[in-house]
Amino acid sequence: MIRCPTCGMLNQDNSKSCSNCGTILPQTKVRCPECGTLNSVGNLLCDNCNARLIQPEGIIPSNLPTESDNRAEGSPVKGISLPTRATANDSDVPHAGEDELPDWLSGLTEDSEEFSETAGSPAEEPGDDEADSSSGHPDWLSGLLDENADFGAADEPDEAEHKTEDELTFESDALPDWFVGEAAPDNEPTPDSADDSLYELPDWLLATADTSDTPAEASETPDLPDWLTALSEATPTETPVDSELPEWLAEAQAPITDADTNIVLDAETQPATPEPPIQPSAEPQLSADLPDWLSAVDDSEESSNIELPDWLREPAETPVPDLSAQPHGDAAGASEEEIAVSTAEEAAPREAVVSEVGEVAPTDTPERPAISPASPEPQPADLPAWLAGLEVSTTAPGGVAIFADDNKRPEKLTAQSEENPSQLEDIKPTTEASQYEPAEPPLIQGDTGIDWEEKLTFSEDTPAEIPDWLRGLDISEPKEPQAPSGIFGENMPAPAELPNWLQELRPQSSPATLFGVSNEPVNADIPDWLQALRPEPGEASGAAARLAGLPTPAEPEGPLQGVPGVLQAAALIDAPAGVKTVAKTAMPESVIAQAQLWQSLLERPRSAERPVSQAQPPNEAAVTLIRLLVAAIFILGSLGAFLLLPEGLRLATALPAQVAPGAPALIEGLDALQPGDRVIVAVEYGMAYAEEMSQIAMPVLQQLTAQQAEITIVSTLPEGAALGAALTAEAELLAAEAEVQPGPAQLDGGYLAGNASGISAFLSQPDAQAAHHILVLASRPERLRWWIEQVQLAYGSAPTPVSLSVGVSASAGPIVAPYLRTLQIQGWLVGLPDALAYRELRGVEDVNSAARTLDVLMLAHWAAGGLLVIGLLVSLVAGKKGARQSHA
Amino acid sequence: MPEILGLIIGTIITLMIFSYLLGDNILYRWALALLVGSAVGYATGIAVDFVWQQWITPALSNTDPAANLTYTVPLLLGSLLLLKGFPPARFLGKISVLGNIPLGYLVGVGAGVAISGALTGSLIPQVLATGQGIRLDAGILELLQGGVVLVGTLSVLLLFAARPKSQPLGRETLSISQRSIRQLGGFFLVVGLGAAFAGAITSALTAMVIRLSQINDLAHWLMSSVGR
Repeated sequence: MIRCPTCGMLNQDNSKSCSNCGTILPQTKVRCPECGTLNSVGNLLCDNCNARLIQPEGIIPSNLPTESDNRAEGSPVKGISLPTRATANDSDVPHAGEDELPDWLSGLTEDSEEFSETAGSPAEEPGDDEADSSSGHPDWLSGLLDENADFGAADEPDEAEHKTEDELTFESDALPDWFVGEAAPDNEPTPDSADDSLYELPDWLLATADTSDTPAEASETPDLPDWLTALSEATPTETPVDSELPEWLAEAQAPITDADTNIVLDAETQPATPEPPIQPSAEPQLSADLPDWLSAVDDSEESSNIELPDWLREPAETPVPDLSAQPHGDAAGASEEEIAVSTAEEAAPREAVVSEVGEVAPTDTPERPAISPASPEPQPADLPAWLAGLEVSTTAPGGVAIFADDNKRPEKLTAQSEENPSQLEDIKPTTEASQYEPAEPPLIQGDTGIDWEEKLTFSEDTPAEIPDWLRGLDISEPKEPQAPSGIFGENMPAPAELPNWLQELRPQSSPATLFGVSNEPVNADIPDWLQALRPEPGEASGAAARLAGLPTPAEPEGPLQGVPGVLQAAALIDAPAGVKTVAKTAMPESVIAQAQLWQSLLERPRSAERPVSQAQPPNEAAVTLIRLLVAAIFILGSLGAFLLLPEGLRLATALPAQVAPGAPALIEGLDALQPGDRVIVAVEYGMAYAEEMSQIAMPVLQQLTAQQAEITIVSTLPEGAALGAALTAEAELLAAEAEVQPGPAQLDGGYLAGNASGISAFLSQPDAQAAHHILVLASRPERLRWWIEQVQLAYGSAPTPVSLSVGVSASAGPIVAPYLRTLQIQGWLVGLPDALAYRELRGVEDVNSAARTLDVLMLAHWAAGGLLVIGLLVSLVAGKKGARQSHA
Repeated sequence: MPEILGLIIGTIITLMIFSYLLGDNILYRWALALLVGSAVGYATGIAVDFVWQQWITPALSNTDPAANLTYTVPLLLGSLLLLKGFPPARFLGKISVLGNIPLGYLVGVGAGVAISGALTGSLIPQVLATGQGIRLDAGILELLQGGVVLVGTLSVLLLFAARPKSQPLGRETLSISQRSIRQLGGFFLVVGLGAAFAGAITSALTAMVIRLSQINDLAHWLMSSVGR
């Protein structure tokens, strides 16, 4: 079936235009885009190759006029249209809908236009309503405009040029105080001075503002810190800066001389200026301007007065070796005091500039050993005690061996060791470590994998060199004698005194340590319900073994495609033992099968070969042939019967009373009418049923005419009254031929509008109330029902009952049969057989013609019945065959 | 002569209708359009003539204001009803809501007439007629016929009244009695629909046979005319 795109009516597949509205229908067949097979319009998939025929966008064929065609024809396009902003060129063009803008919006648009034009011009005073109303600006905007206008007016009051918003500035009065700051009233900005136009800066910021390059002005700002002031006052000519240099910085700038040859090394031979070694005891002279913390570090003469931490002071006794690339040579073995003195002596003649870091004074530089491949290796510097006690492990994290596994303090870290002058050799890896055999990665469970924690221990020789801050820690001794492990190893420092509040937090079972955390795990407080779910040891091990044995599948897709072991095969959360899984909801097999089918269809790739539809497409030629065969049987058979049947032969030999049980009652009812009795004839059929109904209505009207009844033709159909009038006229003509006196003039009740309401209104009239008989000739059941119901309603309480007779078509007969069996109807005729029976019972002439028509109708019924039976048998056989094929 | 002309034209149009057997074609479409157009045109003419003759002319010719009001009010309501024909998007569509007044009046009156008529003309008489066949003094055949009518009526009514209870997963549960009644009602329903289909076929065949008989008469007339 083809659905009309205009009215939606279903049409036959072969229809080229709609039977309802006449719209040209699209092609009755849809060609498959892949195989070219012609398919029916209603098919979604091709019958041959199962390709999709209808696009997801819609089911309307493409050859129908689209929206673009409608637009071309001038039909309006309905949709959402956003309003457009008027451009500058359209200022003269009246905007459509401009009058329709609300007031508040039109006011704003006016404001925006006026604002751009009158910005900067003298504006009205704020608060002037008239001004605001005249300009159209709201108050808040007018206020801003006034402010801007006043400010700009002072500058160029006569100019009416546009000023952009950037040019506009705000008066200080319009700004809040916090923004303006402590702006003095006198500091009114003038448009001439750019500086004055700036808002007042706070004092601290002004103090730092560099408005002049002279140091005198800078000195006027008293708020600068001393160190910053000192830096700003520094000049290249000043020499006292040399005395202010810290020793470490001065030494860095000093030229390097060879220790043996005392030759000053130039920049090419000198290595990069390294960071000087840590010499906490070096106390060069400090200037008064240096901060205290720095002065304390740099003042060597006052070292005794300055409180240095022990760890910082102690290395003075044991000088730290210069681990940098620039050993000091003699200075390496010399004490720091000697170095400090040497630097002090150099401070005066030194002309190094602080700002010019990197330049080295060429004269009076301490002798420094040179570093060259051929030069002797310098002596290692003294190490502080706490650093000297460190024993470097031979293995770094990860198992890479670097140093020799020597528990003893290596010689390279000995402060007074004179062996191994080369520092490079000291850090040279040993033979064992040189293999760099990586150790196996430690297990994650129970091992941090950090070996250096166990390796770093303090030697027994330097227990007193532990700094105070480290010594003060409360490191409780382990319960069990442990191997040298932990940071402190065998020499565990004394535990520090913890405050009471911290001691209260100490867990009972675990040692209160800060660094020396026990390696034993602390049992957590597991609740009882969780304890019950603990798996058995055997189960755990088995589970672990199972987990270990599970293969780690490779990733099927993604950037890690093909890489196994990305995700562990074990579940992240082990299910507790003994937990029973919830039974799944019982799903019917049909649902499961359907879901599986959907899944298989969705998983099938597009390139997969699609199955061919089992349903065979109907053969159009066969369908047309069958249609023609049936038509030939009916038409030719009927014509043949009319031509070939003899005149006197009657095939329908049934008695009329048996054929039409309602005919005798109708005859009796009509015979009871007297001449002049009013009979209402309701003609409720159209031209489609005129052939059949005329066969039924004509004999009845002939009888009514013969009885000289007053006939009133009415109808709820526009054409019904005309048909009834034509029938009545023919009946009168026949009566005149039969020399029967006609009755009173036919009354034309006309067209009754409103269906049941019109019938009710007609029957309520006095003329209708005076009727003796009502004859309803209907082709549709509902029209007969209207008349029956309204007659029952209108004449139920009437003093004289009115009889009602009915003549219906064969199609309405089975449906109105319940009404025919009631006492409401007095006589009825259904279809052509009843009409012929009525003729025979009445003895109307020209019965043979009617009998011939009835015989041909009977033969047509036999043919229709035979074809139905044949079609039923064929469908049964074909259906079974199709079922067998599908099962096969 | 007019009869012969009518026969000839009727025959030609009949053959044009029969051409649909070979497929949709212009002859069939033209014949169909002729039928639909003539019916619609005639109905429009009747309606206009009815309104003009029955309402407009008396309203214009009547001088009595009260009588004019009798004709004016229906004309006004009918005019408002015409506004319902405009699409809502158009300008006149905005005032089409005024057509709801006469439309509501028509629907209300029609519903009242239909309900009252159905109650007194269909429901009560049909209920009485359903059990009319079951009488003690009736014969066996009449009794059997009445019983069949009663059982068939009740079973069809129960077919539409008794619905199965919906269960999870779409399973419907029905008792044995409910299922049997539904099956019996379905049987009677199918028989009734089959009878209606048979009546429709009969009407169609009757129309075809009558048409062919007229064609036969025309053929006889032509043959006789040629024979002369």
